[in-house]
Amino acid sequence: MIGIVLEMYNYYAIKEIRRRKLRTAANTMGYIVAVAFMIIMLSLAHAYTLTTTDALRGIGTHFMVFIPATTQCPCEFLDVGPIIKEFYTETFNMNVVEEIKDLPGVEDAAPYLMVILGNLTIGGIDVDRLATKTTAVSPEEVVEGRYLEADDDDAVMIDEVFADLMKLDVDDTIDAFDYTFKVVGIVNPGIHSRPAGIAHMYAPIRVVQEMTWSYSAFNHLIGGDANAVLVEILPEGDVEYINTVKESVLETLEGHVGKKGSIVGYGCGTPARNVISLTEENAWAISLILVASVTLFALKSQLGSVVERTTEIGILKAIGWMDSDIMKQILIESVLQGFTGGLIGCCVGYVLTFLMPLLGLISAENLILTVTPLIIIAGLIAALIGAIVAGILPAWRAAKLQPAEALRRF
Amino acid sequence: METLGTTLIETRELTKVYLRKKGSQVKAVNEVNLKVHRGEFLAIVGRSGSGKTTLLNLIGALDRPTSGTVMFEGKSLGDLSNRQLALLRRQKVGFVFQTFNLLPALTALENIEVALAPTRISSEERREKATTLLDIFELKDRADHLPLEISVGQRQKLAIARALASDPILILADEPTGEIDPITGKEIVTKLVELNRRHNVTLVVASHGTFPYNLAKRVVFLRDGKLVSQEEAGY
Repeated sequence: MIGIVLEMYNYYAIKEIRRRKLRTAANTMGYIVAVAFMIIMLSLAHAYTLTTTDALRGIGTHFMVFIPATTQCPCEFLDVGPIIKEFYTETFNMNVVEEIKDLPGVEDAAPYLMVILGNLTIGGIDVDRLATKTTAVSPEEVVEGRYLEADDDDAVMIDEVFADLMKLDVDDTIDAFDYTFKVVGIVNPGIHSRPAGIAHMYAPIRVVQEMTWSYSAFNHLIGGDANAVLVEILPEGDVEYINTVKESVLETLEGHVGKKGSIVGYGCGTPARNVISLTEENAWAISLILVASVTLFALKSQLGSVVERTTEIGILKAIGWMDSDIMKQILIESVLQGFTGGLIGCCVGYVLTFLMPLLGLISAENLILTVTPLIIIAGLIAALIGAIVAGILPAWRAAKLQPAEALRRF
Repeated sequence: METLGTTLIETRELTKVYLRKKGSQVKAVNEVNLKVHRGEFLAIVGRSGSGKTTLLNLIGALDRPTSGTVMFEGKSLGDLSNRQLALLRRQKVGFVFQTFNLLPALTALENIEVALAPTRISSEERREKATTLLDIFELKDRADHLPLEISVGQRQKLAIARALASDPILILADEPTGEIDPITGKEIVTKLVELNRRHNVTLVVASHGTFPYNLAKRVVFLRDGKLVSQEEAGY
C-alpha cells in the first residue's frame, strides 16, 4: 500500500521536475556545487590535519619524567652516574615504563638511560619506540650514516657537535666506558627541542645497561634499568587533558620510586593542534554556510514553483487531494532534487579532490589525501537536510491554500 | 442507486462575503436557502457576477461560507476538517469547470488518473478505469495528448470524464458549455443529462444562459448573490 502511494507521488513529482527543467537544473546544480565544494573543502582540511599532525609529532606533546636525586656528584673523583639535565638521578626498573605506557592518554612510553663519565655522556635508547624518536633522537636527525638498530651491539650514534670537536666520522671507532664503539651515524637532535637533552653518544639501551653493570665506576650508582621515561601523548585533547595525563604519569613513577619526580616537557603540539583543528572546523562551517545558501536559493525557487502552480494545486485539491498529499508531492520534488544533486556532488567532489593536485591547483607534496566515508555521508545528509528545509515551507504553503482561492487565481 | 427525492444538499442562510483590498465588502452569496434533492437536475441561472460560481464552490466544499451552513447528506460541512472535506470531494463530488482546469503537464489519460491517484487502488486499476472513461467520451485516441494538443470541446469532455472518475453522487458544472462551440456544447449537454437520467447522478449546473437550462428539472435564479424569481433575474 505504501508502495502504491509513494509510486504515485514519485510519478507526479518526476513529471513536475521534468516539466520545469531549468528550475530543476538550477536547484540541482546548486546542490552539486555545494556538496562538491563541501567534499573538497573537508577532504583537504582533513588531509591537511592528517599531514600536519603527523609532522607535528616531532614537536608534539611529549615529555620526560625522572626522579632527581642531587646536583652534587655522588663520586668524589669523577663526574659519574645516571644524569638528566643537571641532576644526578634515581634509577628504576622497566616494569614502571610498561605501566606508564598503559595509562590513558599515553600513546607511547620508552625507557631512557643517560649516564655520564667524566665529560662524556651516553644515552641508552629503545631505538624503535615512537617516544624515543619524538623525545630523544629520531632517524630524521641523522645527518650522516644511519640510525641505530635494535640489535646493534657495539655501535653508537654521536652528536654532530661532538663529532666535529673530536674529529670523528662515520665508521670511526671511539673508546669510552671501557668499550670500543663504532660510529654508525652522526645526529643533530638539536634541530628540535629535546626534553631529554643532548648526549654525546647514543646506543641501544640494552648496551648501555650492560655497560653500566659491567663498568666498575657505575656499579654502586646504578641499580635499575633506566633513569627516565620518555612519553608521547595521544594527539588529542586540550591542555587540561594533557596536564591530567602528565600528572598520572608522574604519580605512577613517584609511586614506584617513592620520591618526588620531575617533568621536562615540550607541548607546542597542543596549540598547533588547536590551530589545525580550527582549520577543519572552519572547513565544516564554510561548507555548511554554502549548503545553507543553496538551501535558501532552492527554497526561493520552490516557493516560486508553488506560486506558479497555485491553480494546479487548487485543481488537485478540488479533485480530492488532501493537504498531506500536496505536501508530500512538493517535498518529494525538493528531496529528489537535493538527493540527485547531493549524489552527483559527492562524485564530482570525490573526483576533483584527487584531480586538483594533478591539475596543479594545490600542492600535494606529502599531503595525505583521503575522502573518508564520513565526509561523503555528511555531504549527502547536508544535501538531503537542505532539500527538506527548502521543501517544507513551500509544501506547507501549497497545502494550506484554499482550493477555491487557488482556482480563483486562474 | 440513489433514492430520488431525499435531500442531498441543503443550504441555510448561506452567505459568502469577500473583502476587497480597499476595505469594502462584496456579498457574493447572500443568505441563500436552497435544497438539492438526490438525483435532481438543478440549474442555477444568473448573470455574470451573480454569485453562481461561489455558490457552487460552497456546495462542493471548495470554500467555506462566511455565515450560514451547507448540509451535505445531513452533515454540516462547517463541522468537517480540511481532510474530511477533501475526502468528500474525492468520493462524492465531481467538478466540471468552465475553463476545464486540466493539468497542462499531464496527458489526457493522466488527467483522469490523477483524480484516482490519492485513492488506494493499484496503478493498473487506475489506468483501466481512466481508459474506459476516455472510451466513453470518445477520447481514447487522444489518451497520450496533452490538454493543449486537443480541441476545446475535447478538453471539456476530458474534464467531465475526470469528474466521473471517482463515481461521484454529485456533479457540479460551472458554465460547462461556456467556452465551446454549439455542436460540441450539445454533445456535452447530452452527456450530462444522460448521466443524470440514466445513472441518477445529481447534477447542478450553473449558467448565465449558454446552457439549455430548460432541460433541468428545476431552475433557480440568482442575482447579486440572492435567489430571486425569473423575472427579477431578468430572464
